Amino acid sequence: MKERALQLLRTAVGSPGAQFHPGQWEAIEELVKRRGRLLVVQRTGWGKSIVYFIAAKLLREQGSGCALLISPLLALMRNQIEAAERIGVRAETINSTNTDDWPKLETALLAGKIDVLLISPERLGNEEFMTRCLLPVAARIGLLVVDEAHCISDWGHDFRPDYRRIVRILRSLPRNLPVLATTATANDRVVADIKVQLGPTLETLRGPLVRESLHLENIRIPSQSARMAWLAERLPQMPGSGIVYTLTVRDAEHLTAWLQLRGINARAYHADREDPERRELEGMLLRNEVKALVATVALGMGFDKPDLGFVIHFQRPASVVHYYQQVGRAGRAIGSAHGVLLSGAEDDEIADYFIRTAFPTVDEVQAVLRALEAARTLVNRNALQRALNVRPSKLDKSLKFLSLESPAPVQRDGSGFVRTAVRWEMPVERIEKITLLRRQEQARMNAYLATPGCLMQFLSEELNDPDAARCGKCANCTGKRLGAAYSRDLAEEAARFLESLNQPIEPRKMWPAGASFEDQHGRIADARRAQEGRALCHWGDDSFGDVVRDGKRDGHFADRLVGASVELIRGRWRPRPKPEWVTCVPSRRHAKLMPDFARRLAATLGLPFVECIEKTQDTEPQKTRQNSFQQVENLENAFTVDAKAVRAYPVLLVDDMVDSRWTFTVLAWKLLEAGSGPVFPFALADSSADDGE
Amino acid sequence: MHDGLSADTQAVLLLCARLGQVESNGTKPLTPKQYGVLARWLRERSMRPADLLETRGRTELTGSQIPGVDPEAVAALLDRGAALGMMAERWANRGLWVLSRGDEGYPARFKTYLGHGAPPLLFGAGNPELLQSGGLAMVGAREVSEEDIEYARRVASACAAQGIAVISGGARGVDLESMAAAFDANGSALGVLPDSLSRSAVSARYREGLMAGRLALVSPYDPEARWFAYTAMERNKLIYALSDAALVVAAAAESGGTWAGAVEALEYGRVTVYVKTSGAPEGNRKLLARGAQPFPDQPWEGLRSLFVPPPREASLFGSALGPAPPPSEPEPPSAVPVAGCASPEAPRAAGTPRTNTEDVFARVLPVLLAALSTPRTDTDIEESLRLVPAQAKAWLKRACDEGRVRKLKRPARYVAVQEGPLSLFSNSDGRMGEPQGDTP
Repeated sequence: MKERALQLLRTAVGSPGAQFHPGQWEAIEELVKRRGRLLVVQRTGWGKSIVYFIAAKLLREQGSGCALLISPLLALMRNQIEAAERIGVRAETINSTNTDDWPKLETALLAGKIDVLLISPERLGNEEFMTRCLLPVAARIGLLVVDEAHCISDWGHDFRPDYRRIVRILRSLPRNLPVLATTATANDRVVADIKVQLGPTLETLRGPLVRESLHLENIRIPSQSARMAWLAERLPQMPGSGIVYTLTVRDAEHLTAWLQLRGINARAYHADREDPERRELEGMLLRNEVKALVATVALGMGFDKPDLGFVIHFQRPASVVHYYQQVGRAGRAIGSAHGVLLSGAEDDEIADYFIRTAFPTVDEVQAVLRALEAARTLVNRNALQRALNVRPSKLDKSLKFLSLESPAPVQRDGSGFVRTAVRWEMPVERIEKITLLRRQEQARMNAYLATPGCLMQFLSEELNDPDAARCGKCANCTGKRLGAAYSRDLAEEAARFLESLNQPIEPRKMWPAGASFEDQHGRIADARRAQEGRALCHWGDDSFGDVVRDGKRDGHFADRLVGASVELIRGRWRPRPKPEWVTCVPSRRHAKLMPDFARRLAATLGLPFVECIEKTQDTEPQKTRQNSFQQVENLENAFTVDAKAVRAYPVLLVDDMVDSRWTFTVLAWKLLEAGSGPVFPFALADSSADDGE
Repeated sequence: MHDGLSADTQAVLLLCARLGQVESNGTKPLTPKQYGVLARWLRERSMRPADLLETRGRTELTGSQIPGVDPEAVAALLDRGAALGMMAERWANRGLWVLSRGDEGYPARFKTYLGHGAPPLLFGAGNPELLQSGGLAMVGAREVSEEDIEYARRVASACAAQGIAVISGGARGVDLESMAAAFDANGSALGVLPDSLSRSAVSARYREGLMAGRLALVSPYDPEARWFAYTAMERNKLIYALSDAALVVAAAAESGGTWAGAVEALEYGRVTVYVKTSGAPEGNRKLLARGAQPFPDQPWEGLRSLFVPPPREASLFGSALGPAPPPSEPEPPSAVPVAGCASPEAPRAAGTPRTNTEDVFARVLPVLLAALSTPRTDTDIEESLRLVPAQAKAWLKRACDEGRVRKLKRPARYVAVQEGPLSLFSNSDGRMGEPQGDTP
């Protein structure tokens, strides 16, 4: 059999003299001969896909069914598919984007024409997909492959809720089905945890993690704008193309805009980008058509570019495993590559935010359960939102958390949710343990930043690599450093750039499903809709965020904000048709605050300020109303517009904060009804959440 | 083995459960009878079902001769491991559990009283300990009087007060009301369902009881199975087998599942069947004539004293036999009952004392008529009663010849004849006649 396997390898890689990498044949043998269970911990590039392609092929030749590959990758890499095709392995993917192909793929699967089927972990939770597509053919699966297997461990750095389902499937598998779990990053603790999940018969195959051509260096530059200056100067000198990692989507966007402004070909990559765009961006980086992708952790698993020249972290990542996995993408098939960890003043705050919000709170979860228990039938998401005062993203987080518990207290059924008869309590202890672990992981990252020793050795030891040793390449080994120096002028420019950032306020187009506002449903008529607006800054930014916060506290917004607003409106925004008058959203709590600011703003713009909106009843601040139904309900009778005062020209509608956009939406509707020209919303700060990735 | 399914249960699921596959897609799971044959084959080789998952078992299987069982088909069934993992995950997610005959929690009563008719698999939700505790079976038609319902609720409350579990079938009417009343009175209830366990287990009706550990729902069928007259009949045996005594609150005479189940239990003669006597329908009176006992009048104190074997003359057929001795059933190591099954395809009452001269058609007829309460084709009957085509045709022909079934033309269909005193199936007991529209 080994000869046959070797023959397949040589055909696959197109090289008649090729030999297996250490461990590859052993892995294939374990799966095919012993139908065993195997965990492979090998760095990216070792050739995991070759193992399961050849194992799948050999099993097929013995009459087994196809291999099911569960992977968070969007698709197999082109070169992997080509290698598979060369040995006659047909690999197909079934996902939400190719539903039209399902019947065809199903037929092919049943006819035994597909050898490797790729699905994402999320698919396993889709009842329709499972019932219609996967279960009917699941009888023919002869090998199960779980990619990025560290995700199945509670202790994995990248624990993903959807992997909880995979764990349950793995636990129920009979021992006659071969299983291959693969990961590039797992320390002993994670391996032990995976072993618990997959049973004692699990064999582990572990390779060295050291990246021989990677130069690691840690640089501390507290100020964001200084780090931006450093990047603008140093990126062009880096070899090839690479990745700059940020912790939040907003930072990825801002940094990209800054680098572009400095003439660097950078693009932002994060979870808010649609799949096709993400694939396109990955392709651009693969082909060296960009200098850098500025990315969140969304660019991670499965991305494989052997000649990646550098990986720079703009902020400190969550753990050593995260860091190794990200920085380890660089420096494989390239003589020399840089792995630079910049750390900043905001690192702790961001890390803390992610740790605190990783799980829904007991109250959030209990509220969802109570609402479902009160219902006798299925409840859909909209109805839950109406009943509960929670943000949609938080509701989803609670629902997902609950439905992935085992056994699950909440079950999804089509578009609805139902409380099952499972007795359940919030797993407080598990959450505490994981939270504690996250904090320990942060502490290890700080230790990494502080270590005077070899950086690669530190990482390898943290990952329990038995071959950990001094690398002789990192800044601490060689004393050769890029260093923290940056141009003061550039840093000042970066600071101004940060100040100048402003947030578009997209007009809302739909009333909330199931809710009504003055008997309006569904689409908001074009003629009653706000124009695109702007916010001067984000509430959390270090540009104007603090100044707005001070203003709210002191009951007076500083003139600096007026100046910056005028600069934004006249300079970068330039709304058209040009506003010809200014009005503001009143507040009964701070009656003078907004009119005072709007009057000064209008005066500087040379426009009349007209007070034409009256707040007729106290409402709870929109901030405390967490979802659309409640927000619109909150606003229905809150304001009246004095139609006599309204002018038939374009107007600038000013408020201090924007979050849900319902206040702007409702007031634009009322102003337009009263005969105003187009309404341009403007807010000092955008306080909507940024949940990372 | 870590938590979850035992290796034996895994093997039995692979062999006997649908596991989400569509029937048309290749290999069909083994019928309980085929499984019985295979289980005997395993025993003869000192193997357990789990051994089929090992190389040794697979090697033994290859090329061996097992009557009525194709070793290659068995091998293909055993290769459905991924499907098993996915289905088991789905069941676990809904709070369902599954037991096979070798599992510790599998009710000993099934093995003792049903012998090889004990279902190979038992799916359930709620507190599995209720399977062991015995109790009073309470059954009755779905369409019953307010008075009967009230009566059922009072008996169930009395059971609850005396720590006796109520065992029933989860159908609308007496079944559901008895279970609910027992639960309302802080007692326990066990429902044996013929269909849709998966849906029932998450229904609001049962939620509180399941969560409180005072209710269990079980079914020998796939948790997503639909309702069939045949399966509803089969599950009656399980209700009686789990009980220490039975109370028929209201049965339509010679018609419907309640009647058929009670008659079967009387014939088997293991538990005493009691009937409500005052203001009861004709069926109850006729059951008395067949050996059922009158349920005592209030006050109901010491209901446990009713848990006595039936009087000998109770059984019409097997009076000489008395209460059937439990089939001797060597259990572990394999824990798989001997499959000494030589019976024909007839859906024979499992565990019924066997007589070699019995005309099986007499037993088949009620099932057949139940299935034909609305016109159906011979193919429908084949499928819903799981018959080979020739058997279905033969029985349909005989039923026609005896004037119990009428044949309709274009398309050819069969329907039960409903007339005068011969009518076995009034519509008062829909459980036998038509699938439940609104599954509990």
